[in-house]
Amino acid sequence: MKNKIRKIICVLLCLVCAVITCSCEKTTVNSEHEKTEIVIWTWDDTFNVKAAKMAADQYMCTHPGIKITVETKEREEILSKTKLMLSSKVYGNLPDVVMIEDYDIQDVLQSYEKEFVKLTDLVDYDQYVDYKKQLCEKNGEYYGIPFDCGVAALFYRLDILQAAGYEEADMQNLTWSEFIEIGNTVQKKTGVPMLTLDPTDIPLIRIMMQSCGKWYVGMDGKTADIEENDVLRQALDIYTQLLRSNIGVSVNGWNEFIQSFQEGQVASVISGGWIMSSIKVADSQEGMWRVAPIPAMDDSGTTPAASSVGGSSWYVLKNSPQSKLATEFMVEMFAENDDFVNSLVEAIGIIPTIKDSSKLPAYEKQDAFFGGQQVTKLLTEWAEIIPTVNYGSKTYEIEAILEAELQDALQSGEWELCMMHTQQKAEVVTRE
Amino acid sequence: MKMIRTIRQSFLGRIMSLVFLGIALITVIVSSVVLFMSKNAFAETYSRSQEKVLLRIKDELNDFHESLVNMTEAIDSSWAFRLFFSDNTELDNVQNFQNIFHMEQDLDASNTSGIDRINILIVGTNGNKYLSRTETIKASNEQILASLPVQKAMQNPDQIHYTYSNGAYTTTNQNTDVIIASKALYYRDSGEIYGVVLVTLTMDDVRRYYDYFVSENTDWYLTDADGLIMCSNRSFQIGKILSEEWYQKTKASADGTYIYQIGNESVSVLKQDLSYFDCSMYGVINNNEALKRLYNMPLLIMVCIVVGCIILLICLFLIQDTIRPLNKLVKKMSESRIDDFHDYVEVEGAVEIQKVAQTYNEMLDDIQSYIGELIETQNMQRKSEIKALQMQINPHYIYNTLASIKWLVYQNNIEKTTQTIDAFISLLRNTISNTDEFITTEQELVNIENYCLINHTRYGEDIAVEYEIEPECYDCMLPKMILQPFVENAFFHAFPSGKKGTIRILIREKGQYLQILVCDNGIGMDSTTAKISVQENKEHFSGIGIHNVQERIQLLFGTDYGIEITSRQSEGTTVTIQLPVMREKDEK
Repeated sequence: MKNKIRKIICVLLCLVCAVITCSCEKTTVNSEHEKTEIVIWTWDDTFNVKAAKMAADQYMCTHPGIKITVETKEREEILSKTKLMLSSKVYGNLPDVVMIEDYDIQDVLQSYEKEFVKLTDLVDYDQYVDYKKQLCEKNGEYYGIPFDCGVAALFYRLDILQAAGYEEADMQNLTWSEFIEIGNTVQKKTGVPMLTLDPTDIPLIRIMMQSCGKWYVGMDGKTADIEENDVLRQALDIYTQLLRSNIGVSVNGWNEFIQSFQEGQVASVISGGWIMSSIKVADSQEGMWRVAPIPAMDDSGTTPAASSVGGSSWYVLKNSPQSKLATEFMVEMFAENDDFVNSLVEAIGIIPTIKDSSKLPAYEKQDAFFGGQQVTKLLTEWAEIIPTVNYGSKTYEIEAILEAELQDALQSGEWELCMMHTQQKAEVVTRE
Repeated sequence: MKMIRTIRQSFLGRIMSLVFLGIALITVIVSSVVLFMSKNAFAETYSRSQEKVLLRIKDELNDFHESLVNMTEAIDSSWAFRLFFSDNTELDNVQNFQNIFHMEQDLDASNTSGIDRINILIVGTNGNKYLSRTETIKASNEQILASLPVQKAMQNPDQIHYTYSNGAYTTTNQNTDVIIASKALYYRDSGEIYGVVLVTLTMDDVRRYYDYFVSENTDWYLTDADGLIMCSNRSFQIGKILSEEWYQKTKASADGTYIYQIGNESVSVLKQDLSYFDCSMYGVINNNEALKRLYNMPLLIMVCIVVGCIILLICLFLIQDTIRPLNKLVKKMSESRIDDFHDYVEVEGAVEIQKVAQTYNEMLDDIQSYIGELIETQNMQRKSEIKALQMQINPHYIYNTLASIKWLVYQNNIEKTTQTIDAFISLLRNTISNTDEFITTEQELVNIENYCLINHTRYGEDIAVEYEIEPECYDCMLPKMILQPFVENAFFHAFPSGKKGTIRILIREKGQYLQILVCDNGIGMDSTTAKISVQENKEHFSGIGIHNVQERIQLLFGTDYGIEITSRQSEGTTVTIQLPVMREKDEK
């Protein structure tokens, strides 16, 4: 009898134990599942990706137990995949940090403001230049960590220009007509075109517009400003001239654009400061490159001209698996760490968007690749005079319209019609 | 342990343990039977439903293939691409600009794959390359042309070939696992190949096709003809040769579902061949795991325990309620042995228990009546015994008295003789002839006087007898011959060897009692002799001794009444008789 009772008690105890161990098992499974892995999506493996990897390596040394994975993606892919996941609220595969280009960010914030980590209180936004700071803002809150400013510059191959009879001094503070003139001479004498033109991506138009403080939309960011936009009309004119005169050679996509200057097929590149990291990939061209301000619009009168193209910032997603850790990481490395930003200046030639350049000793550095020019200092100086424009949220949508209309106008020569059609379509696109 | 034993042996304990065992047994047996039965059924139905999902994946992959076919056809029929890849066309810069734009337009229009920003690289035999994305090509022309997907496409230009590769041609996928779809572009008539379309699919791109199929217990594999894993949710296995037992068993089989028992694991393998891809895809379900997830065992056990406890509590309450009257009954029964049999049990509770209580009460009634009858019979017996003694006049007494009378006749004392004979006659009449149980005090006193007279006649007048009777006591009723034994006792024992003395008889009412005192001033006695003062004596009048008197009184009137003897050495003895006050009319 006693045994029986003992058995019953034993069975009961076993049951209780079983229940407890089962629940315990569950929790252990959960904890195993959660890895402290921060995932970053960015593009351009010579620039953004490199910067992210540097930050990750440095951070992982001081924070064991955290793994940071930098995934190289296409800019458009990051944007569309992130938007897709946010719209369907599928957070499992969401990266923790994404890089978003300045032209796109307002559109993203408009739709998914609540999906991003507010950094208003974590980051000192006063340290950044105003136009960059404004881009990260939505409804009085700040979301991104400004990365590079995308200040535009004219990078040129001194050796090719010298072959055509030009010196460094001839390249300073050009206007576009001067540039075309030089281009013609170079073309004739060396057979090398000045730059590349991609029918599917027309950053040159944007550079020209912003240098005059104009954009596809008005200062409110919402009203399409195409038909009455003289700067745009002029820019298109210059663009066509470049194309027709073979100064700007047609290239097919990003790959050929990069390839063309890396392989020495063009004499210059007009693009954002971030392109330097791609230029420098071609080691054999060291010392042959120089940098100068971009050409100015003929009657604008501002010398030197300054503009911006394709700057970008980091954004932390609020509902991603490691959002909190990612925020700590990004703030520590990209927003507060002047030493790290300084090392980025040295390693990839980033033009930071910080007002007080004295904080970064690497500013003063002379770059042998550019013949000893103080590249960063120069670009930073130009960055300070970039006219502020409101990109609005539909830059690429309007540009796609313009690209198509440009094709028609090239054939027909009906530029007024081109402007009118673009205006009509852009108005539809920008309507909220 | 002892307490546990009593609990176990008690009614409640037994039923409770039985209920507990029953619940536990039913729970375990039913659960295990249900689990066992459902396990097989589950493996089948789950596999079947998953097979439908797998067929959907197959459809979608075939749709994707179809969209690639359409896309390559659109590229092939696009004049822009043909111009771009032909050897002998010279376009000026503007034409080239427009051509490039058209290529993008044509490609955008033909991309119905549903994959956003799909990575399409088209390599022309003329050295031109077209890439649909904003990134750079990392591989050189020679590397691209020498790669397996291009080689396959060149060898068989009619088909789209799907090849696994670790690393493809562009920046974003130069180090990742990819599947490359390749298709050669060629002129129909001459068969001359002018380009190859290379569509690079990352594992993320493919995931959306199978993502809803996989779970913790369900894996998905895409393998080529050699068993190389091209894609799987188990990413670490991608690029390896599949060598698992289930694969060996299934690889030669037709499409369908197969269930294997491998080791302890029950595995369902769902196979579908993808003929367009020259691949097979497998869904592998670990049935044990799936079942584990389906049945939340801890919850099941918890529910069983909780329900069991509730049932036990209800049982406890019900049984206690049922056996409470039984317990009462048990208590009453054990007490009634000590007490009398008037304590009836309340009839309540279950029908059976009511019956038991009723029977018990009836039994009490029976016992009571039997005991009453028994006492009655005993009393009767006693009475008749005493009666018989009463009737029995000692013959010696008669002889001696008659002898005394004879002496009186010799003395010629006629008066005294007459007196004595009268007294004797009266005494005999009252004792033998009168059959009444009770007589009045007056009559009893007459008897005593007659007895004393005879005694005086026989033994002389040394012992005087005095009477002090309260007048209202004369008509009180007494049992016959109640005083005589004590007077007799005093005559013969209180005054030995011719000592003189007095016997006093007092009769009075004291409260509810009729008190009769027989006092003498004789030698008295110690307490021991007082109790054994009954001796066989020839001089006794009747068979009634003083020891009978107490018995008789209590038989008649109960224990409240009786006699009490107090005696002091050489001072005398007092006998107190306590009787109820009864008058002639009361008796009637």
